[in-house]
Amino acid sequence: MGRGFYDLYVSASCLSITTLAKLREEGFKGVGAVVSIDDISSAPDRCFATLDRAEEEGLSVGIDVVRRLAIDRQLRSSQVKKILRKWRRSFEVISVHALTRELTAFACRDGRVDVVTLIPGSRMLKGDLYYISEYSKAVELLLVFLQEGKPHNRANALSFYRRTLLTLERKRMLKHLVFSSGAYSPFNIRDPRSMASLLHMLGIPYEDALAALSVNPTSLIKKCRDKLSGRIPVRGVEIVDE
Amino acid sequence: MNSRGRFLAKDKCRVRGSAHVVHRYLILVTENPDRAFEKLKKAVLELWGINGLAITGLKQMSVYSEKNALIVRVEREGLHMLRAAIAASSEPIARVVKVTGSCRKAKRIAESLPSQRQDFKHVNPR
Repeated sequence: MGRGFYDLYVSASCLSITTLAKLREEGFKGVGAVVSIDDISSAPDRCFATLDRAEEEGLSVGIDVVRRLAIDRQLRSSQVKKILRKWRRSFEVISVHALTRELTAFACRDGRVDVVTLIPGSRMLKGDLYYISEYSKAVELLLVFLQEGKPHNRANALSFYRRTLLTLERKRMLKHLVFSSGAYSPFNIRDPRSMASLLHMLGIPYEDALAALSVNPTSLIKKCRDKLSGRIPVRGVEIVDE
Repeated sequence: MNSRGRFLAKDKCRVRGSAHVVHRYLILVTENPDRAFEKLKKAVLELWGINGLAITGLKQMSVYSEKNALIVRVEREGLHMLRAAIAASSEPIARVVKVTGSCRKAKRIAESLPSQRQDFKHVNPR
């Protein structure tokens, strides 16, 4: 049986039936339909309608669409807490972009955040890595920063990703790594094995690179869905069917 | 050498030394197979430089215009470099259908692809 690849970060607005079919052909089993915090604050009904449509079309094509909220704006932790209180149960996966130290530290500490998305320039300290490991969160890297921008910026991004991967490997935290495309248009989507080859060339074993696109996101999604459905009522407790 | 002065098989290997290079053959599906190879070389050059282009040792083997497919040969050590360059390129170049160890199998797979594939249905705004 083949691996089930997931691209956990694709903008929901670009998820048409052709994009979903393209994802299927590329070899993906599922996709994370991402809604940003600006969109959900300004037009929540439209966002949910887009997500519902994407889910239906994904079902027809054979792609598992995961609802995801990305907090990708620089906010104070009190504002993020308000957002999490309001929208936690409406989305399967919630992520926070590590834009500032305060936001990064809060995202690693708070149990309601599932993914911490690192952008070039983010700083993660020892305590952040401890919380990520403790709460079984995921650390996400996005391909889009390596595809776009001036060569100097792309080189900086490559260097940042290499350092991050070496840190995660040294701390034995590669099972928390997730690699996504970060696509906001169908032209940013690449096939999963090429993405894994890129991670491998940055210094981690190829098997771990493949796991960052398959096993790790799959287990994260399963855990998040179990939490929402009530199978995991509190951390460390799971209701097993008799 | 044997008594007749002819090289034995094991001697041939010794004479060849370390010159034996292993290749991999990629079957790629793309919008424009005639220009895809140049784009691949450019992507490898952009990401890995001249040394990267040398390590990959790219060569275009066959083009199947009616199937929007092409077969590219790459040295085994450069396979991950090529795939990484495809992933990190700013525009979509091609999709890798299969990687094989022999050109014959690659041709069989490419010939079995349906004609006039329309994988890239979008119009690139760039």
